[in-house]
Amino acid sequence: MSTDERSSPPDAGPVSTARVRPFQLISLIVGWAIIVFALHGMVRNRSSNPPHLLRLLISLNVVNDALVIPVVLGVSLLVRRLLPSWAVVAAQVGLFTSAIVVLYAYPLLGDWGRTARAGFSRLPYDYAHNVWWVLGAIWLVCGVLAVWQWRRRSAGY
Amino acid sequence: MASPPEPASGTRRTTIATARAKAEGTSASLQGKVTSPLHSTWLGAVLGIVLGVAFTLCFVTGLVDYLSQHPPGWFHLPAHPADLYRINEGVHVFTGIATIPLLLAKLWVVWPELLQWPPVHNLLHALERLSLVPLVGGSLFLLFTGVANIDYWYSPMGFTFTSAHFWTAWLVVGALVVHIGAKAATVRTELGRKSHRPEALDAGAASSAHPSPRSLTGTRRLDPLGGLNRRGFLGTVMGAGGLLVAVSVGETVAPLRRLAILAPRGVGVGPQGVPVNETALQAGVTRSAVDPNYRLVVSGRCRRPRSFSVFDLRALPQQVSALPITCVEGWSADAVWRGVPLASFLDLVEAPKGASIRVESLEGADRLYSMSVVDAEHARDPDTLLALELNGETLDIDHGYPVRLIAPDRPGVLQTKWICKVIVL
Repeated sequence: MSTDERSSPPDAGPVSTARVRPFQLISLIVGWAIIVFALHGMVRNRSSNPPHLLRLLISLNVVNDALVIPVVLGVSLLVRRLLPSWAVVAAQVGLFTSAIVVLYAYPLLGDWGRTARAGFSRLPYDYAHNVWWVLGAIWLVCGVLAVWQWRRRSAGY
Repeated sequence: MASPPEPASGTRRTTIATARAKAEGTSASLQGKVTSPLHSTWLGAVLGIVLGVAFTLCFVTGLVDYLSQHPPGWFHLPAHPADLYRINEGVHVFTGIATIPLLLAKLWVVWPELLQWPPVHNLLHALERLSLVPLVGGSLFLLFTGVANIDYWYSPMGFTFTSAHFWTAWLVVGALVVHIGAKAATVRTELGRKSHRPEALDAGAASSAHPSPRSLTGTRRLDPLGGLNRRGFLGTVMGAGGLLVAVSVGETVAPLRRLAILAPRGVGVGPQGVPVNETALQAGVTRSAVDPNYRLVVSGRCRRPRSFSVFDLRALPQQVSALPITCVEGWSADAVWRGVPLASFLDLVEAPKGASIRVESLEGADRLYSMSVVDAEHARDPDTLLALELNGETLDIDHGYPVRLIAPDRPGVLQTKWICKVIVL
């Protein structure tokens, strides 16, 4: 691995070690003023259900750090260790894009908006079927990428 | 016998120093194991800039949207161009959709930051780190509730979507301002450093003693295990965002409607070819809307308060307006409306020229958006109608029969249906 490849940890360094710049200080003051304004607005506006909302905001941090990141890390390691190197890029592209599509379509797949979608405006779609089509298209592209990668590798590139 | 205080304090200090050194060693060791080129400051900076632009765009358009729905005295969208609200809403919703992969990618790229030790260096750094809680949680919340709103999925919320989304947006913007201030110098340095650009990395790899094979993008692969390089990762993220937009934007851009296979609404699908969100059945007006004794009652600050039957309204001079109807969930549709111009209607009851009006629906007053206020500019706009027909037919009951409001540049929820009262304010 060359020196250039070895990446520095993201966003580390200057924040903690450099002296505080005026812009940073101003941003800190303005930013926290806006945060306090937002928290005040939330608490004052009962319809936003402040305790539930704040719990949810903190939970989402925990879910990201303690669940999503470890799962993605595990899958990523498995892909990199188990697949042949020519297939890794295609698998990473496919897994990332597929996960995004499924996450986005999740409420439609569960049909949770059905009660609000009553009436003649409801589209006659089988969303599970449509998601399979999109996933099929994604993995078709990824398959082509993998074959291309394999051929290039075989040709000695 | 009690030990003298100084040595005890010294021992404690030594213990703390040892523990700290151990923690720093563990942190450095873990960070050293993160060898993927995707966890780089350069990539974090690039994604941060794109996300910053996307969030700013979403925030500004969201603010316009919120103020249009809950107009304070000092704000209303101009009545023309008539597509202004539609464009604003489209930019808000579809930028938000495209932001989903961007945000998840950014969170993935920067996760090794969690390993940083010590986690905080001083008070200012602590405040900056603390602001990451609303930044990360709030951003995920905004995208999650935004998608749920698009899909009419309100059951898991436990709060009113609009106010929670609005105040969380402010929370995220505040945290974003703190974050930008903290990272601006890093971003400037990283983007200015030639050795961190992909081209430079490619060149570096090419000139190394053991050149690695070329990747699909034509660049030198940098990951020893054959994974995505940074350029490929950026391309994948942008591609995923583009794909999400492609499969949903057709609910507002008619030429792309066939592609909108993951959208809950479609252009041209609904009663009279225009979608509706709330049906007459859901609003509980199926009887009152077709009651032969229905009257539209005009009251308030006018000289000739009176009431109108459907036949009276049909007998008044009619006008045609081609106006879009736009919903906060992101869909919109072109439509041709016919009805009584509100301006001439107000002249008929001798309302003052600069008066705003309030229209009330047959729905119960306890229902959200069962009434709306029309400011003077919109009330007097020649395109604003008390609509009786849609696309050449009498209004369908789901579209607000017998009479509804249609005005340019207003959210769909304020285009009040099943109007029974007009109050001059």
